[in-house]
Amino acid sequence: MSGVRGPGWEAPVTVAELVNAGPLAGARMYGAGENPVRGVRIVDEPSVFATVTPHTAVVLIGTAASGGWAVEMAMRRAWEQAAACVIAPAGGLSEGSGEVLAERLGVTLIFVDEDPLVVAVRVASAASRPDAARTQLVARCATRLAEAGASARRVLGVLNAELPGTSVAFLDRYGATLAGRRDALTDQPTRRETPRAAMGDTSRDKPHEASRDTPLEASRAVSREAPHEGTGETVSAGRSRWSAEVEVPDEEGGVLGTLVAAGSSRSPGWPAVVRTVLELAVAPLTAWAARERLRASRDFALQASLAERLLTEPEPEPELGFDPAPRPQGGVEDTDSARAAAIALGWPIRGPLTAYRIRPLAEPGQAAPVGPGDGPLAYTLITAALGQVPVLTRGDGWAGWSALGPSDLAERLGQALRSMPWPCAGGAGAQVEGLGGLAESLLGAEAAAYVAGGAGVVRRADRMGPAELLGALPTAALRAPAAVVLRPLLAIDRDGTLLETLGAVLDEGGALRAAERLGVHRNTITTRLDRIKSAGFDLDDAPTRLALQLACHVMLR
Amino acid sequence: MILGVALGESAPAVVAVRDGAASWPVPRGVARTASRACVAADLGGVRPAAVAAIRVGGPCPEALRPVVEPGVATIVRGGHSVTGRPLAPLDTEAVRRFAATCGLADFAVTATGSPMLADHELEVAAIVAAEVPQARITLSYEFGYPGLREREADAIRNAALGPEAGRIADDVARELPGVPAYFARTGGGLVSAHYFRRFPLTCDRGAAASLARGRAALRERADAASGGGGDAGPGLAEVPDGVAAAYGAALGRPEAHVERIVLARGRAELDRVLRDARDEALTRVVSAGAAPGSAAIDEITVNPLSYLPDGLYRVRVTAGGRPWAG
Amino acid sequence: MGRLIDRDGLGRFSAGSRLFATGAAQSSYNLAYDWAASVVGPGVELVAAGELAPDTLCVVVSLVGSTTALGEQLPAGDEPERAVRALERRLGERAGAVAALNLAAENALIPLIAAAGLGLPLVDGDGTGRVFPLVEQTTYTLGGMSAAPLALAGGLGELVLLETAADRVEELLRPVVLSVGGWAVAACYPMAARDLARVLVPGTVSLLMRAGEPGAPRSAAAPYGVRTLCRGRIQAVEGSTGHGGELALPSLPSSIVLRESEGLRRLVRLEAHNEIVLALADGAVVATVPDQICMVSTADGMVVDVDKAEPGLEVDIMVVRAAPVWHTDQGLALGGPRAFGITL
Repeated sequence: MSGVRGPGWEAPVTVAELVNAGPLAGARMYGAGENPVRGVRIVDEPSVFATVTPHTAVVLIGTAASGGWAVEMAMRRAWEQAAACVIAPAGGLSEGSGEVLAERLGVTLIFVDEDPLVVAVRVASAASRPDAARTQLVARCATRLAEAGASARRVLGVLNAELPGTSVAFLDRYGATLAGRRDALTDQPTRRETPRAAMGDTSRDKPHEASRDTPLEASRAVSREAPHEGTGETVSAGRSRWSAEVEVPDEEGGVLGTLVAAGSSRSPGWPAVVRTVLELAVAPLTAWAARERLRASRDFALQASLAERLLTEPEPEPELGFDPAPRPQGGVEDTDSARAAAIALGWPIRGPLTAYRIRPLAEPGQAAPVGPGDGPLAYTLITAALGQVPVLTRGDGWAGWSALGPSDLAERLGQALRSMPWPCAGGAGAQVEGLGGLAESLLGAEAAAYVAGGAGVVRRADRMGPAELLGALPTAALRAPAAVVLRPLLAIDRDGTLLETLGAVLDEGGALRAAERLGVHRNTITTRLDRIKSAGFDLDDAPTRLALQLACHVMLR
Repeated sequence: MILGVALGESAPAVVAVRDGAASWPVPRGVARTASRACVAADLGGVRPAAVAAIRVGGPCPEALRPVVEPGVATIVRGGHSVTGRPLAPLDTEAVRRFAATCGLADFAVTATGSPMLADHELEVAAIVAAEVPQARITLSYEFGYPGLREREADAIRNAALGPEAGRIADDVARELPGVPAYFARTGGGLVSAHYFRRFPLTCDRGAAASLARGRAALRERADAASGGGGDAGPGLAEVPDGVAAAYGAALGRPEAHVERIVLARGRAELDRVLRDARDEALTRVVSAGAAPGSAAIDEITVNPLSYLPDGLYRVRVTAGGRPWAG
Repeated sequence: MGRLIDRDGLGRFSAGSRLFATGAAQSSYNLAYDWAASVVGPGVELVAAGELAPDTLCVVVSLVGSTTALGEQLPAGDEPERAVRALERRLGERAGAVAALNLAAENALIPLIAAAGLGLPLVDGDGTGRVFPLVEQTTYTLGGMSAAPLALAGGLGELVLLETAADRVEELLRPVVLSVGGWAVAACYPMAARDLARVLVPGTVSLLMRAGEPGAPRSAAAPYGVRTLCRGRIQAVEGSTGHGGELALPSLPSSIVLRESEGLRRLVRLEAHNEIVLALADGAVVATVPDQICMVSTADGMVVDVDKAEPGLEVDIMVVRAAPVWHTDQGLALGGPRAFGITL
């Protein structure tokens, strides 16, 4: 447990704190319970009220608790004296009318089942030593967290159960809720615009950019509103809201996510207590993440290697008739077991298949946004959109195949892309029959993914022509090498006519058609070609011709 | 299709109600295909039968004696106090003598204290039934409320209405063979024909109640239709009272009330007597024509009685249900 | 002198007696009225206490117990006379006038029936100006008069004479009333006319007769003022606790919770113990005994008895100010909130 206490531990406890986490645990409370409790007064008859001071918890006994009328009168007097709350034995007043009056007067009413005198003693001790009461709560939370073990769900369950009037959520580093209560976020105005669905939720249809950026903005908003140690107050809809957050590191010290807590209690000491408890939850969450990652990456690696085997190993000979003899070769058996595992995973391995490819897009001059550790997340998001399909690591992205036709697959791929935290493009290959043709389909998918270019865009190989291929050239990246290749030409080409002529000749496949395109005489083209050849370019050499055509394409675009 | 029927001075008004919408006239052949018929009648003009009234209790001032017009009355010794204590043993011989000599068949029996304890009324009924085998007997405890004279007057009127109510029920059954008949209650709701024959008093002013219900329903439909821009149907002014009452009757559902004075010392005993009262109300509403599965308690009120010892409560239970027919 | 309550006067008197009467079962009122109408004959003489010879023995006659019980178990008819005659025998003196304990519904009519039967005048006034549950909660007690000796006549011919200290009358009376069937007619507070003139709330009989005239405003029955607290709909009727338990008042306390229909829509709670003894609005005390708090149905203008209050009913809550003597320290001690176990 943290030995360092934030400011506010000595602040008076509030009524809600007493009821939900303190000496009144289990009591029934009507009203907001936001008032601080500085003391306790036992009231056995109405005349005592004259000496009740503000912020006192009034405990009714005897005549003062003897019936609905007495409790109602006590609530009225408590309101007049600005008491913190009225604590009455259960059964004195019908809870319905108690609730109505608590609301009308703004006086918190608490029904207790125990002896009110015992309750009074406990409230008095909490009111006089608020830090002790809070320490007790923190100690209890520590025990419960230890019992919960390394499970994000259970840890958040403990936090939400033990921290009264407080909603706690665990967000991943992209801002998606991993566990806990969403209302820990709902009062954050910027978050409310685009609530992020939890991982694996395929129902959302927000544009990719919005879902990626908003949580970042939101977390900035939180820290802006959090002047002290990640806790702070915001005012929304007329109610005072506070929030607290604690960063959870992964086992390597990177950012795993953030624990965010929020509530509307007006207790000055409470956010500091919450923060302390959140800190207690960091270690189990880090442990949980490490274990989950290990398992997920192991699972990802297993399925990826299975998929690779299916692609590379030969398809068994189709059986002709009944063959009771044992199988002669271990290899076939292995292949069969791989197929069995694939079937168990729900993968398509027969019939029409279509390959896909997902390619993360790097910003110019930057490394790919995706690392090797992101495979498990990608696997989750891809299978959430495409169903049970293999996910292979290909380059800096992923590939696999599906039983869906290219059209459906392209649409699902689009969903997968939108759910991903990274900007990605996608491609769908041509439909092929069985695993044997998949290599070809994968090639098409890869090409289509390149052609697609923009974030969230999916292209289909079966709809792709040469123009699309040229259009897919990474112009910006190739411009520098193209300039190097063409430097001798550019050195003599003052007005760019030579480059234009070269491009036209290569594109049109001859001088005659190039002359038509450029609107000049054929002899002019021949003259210019001579000058180009004099610069050292051998247009009869096929590789040179291809390189020049690409270079022209890049330079002229 | 539910048939609504309002009996009046002239020919009965009949409407056919489908999905809450009324249409008329209704050809006889169509009427006979109804799933049920709901009859609204006012019994105010009915010629009362002569009643033999038996009050069980002590002597009283002349002004407080039973009033039977026409008929004969007697007071016999017996009854119970409101706390359930016997006031005197029942004078069975006096009951026998009166029953044997009064020459009437419609009896009304009212015993002091019967809302708490109906033993003496039941005993009188047994004696009367033995003496006059064809007797139709109304027992006041069925009405349940305290106030001997009011309860007695109601028991007498119920007995007086009996023969005519039987005739009305017969007429309806003859006119609509095979169609289950319900009758509109004075305070709203319906009872079965069988219940009506036994407790015609509950339907004494059924037409008035049905008229109010029907008018209100027509107004609502008209409001809804005009608000929704739809067909408002016949204007309110065009709907005569008989047609509105018939419609109101068709909208009703079986209902029954139980009222008792109970003595219960402690919560457990009160719970038990309340359970009994609930059971009775449920039984009664089924008897009044509710489908057994649909019978449910609508309301229950319990008040301690002022100026009496702890544990005496006035209990009123209302039960309702869906008609079993149609 | 010379004023008579005849059949016509009886009609006005009984109508007036119901304007703020609680606890009056319809049945018992009807029978008291029919009974009175059958005995009133040419009329009962109405006299002011001061008009009687100062030494005239005056006897207070009242129904004690439950009106529900009276409505169910009818009187034999001779109860008022038997009670008064028994008291006369005990005192060795003939009564010269009959007075009322209070004038709520049948309690106004029973003394009239007694006076008619005995051929005595009825005194214009009563001992409360309103209704209290206890026989000793009267201005007669406040004036130092004792309810005892008290004669009790039951419906089955029972006759009981109570001779005890003034503050034990109620305690002895209640079990006797229950054992004779829940109601009886009492003849009590025997006193000379000069004492009666000093201790009664005067003129209330004639006041109610005026208030009972057709078209007279309800407030005419409240000589010391009446105010409407609020209009509300009953939400719940609850058993109540915490007051009167040790007081041995008849019946159990109950609590009626209402929500104000308009305006502030306050939560209103009426604490009832036979009568309504306390009214709270949002927990604030807005009326208490000795003033009389009653619920008047907005549907028919009738006073709603505590034991007939039920959820859904809409009522005006009206507060009838009690006679000034009730607001003295002595009066408050006898008929104020503390007398009902309520500490404010």
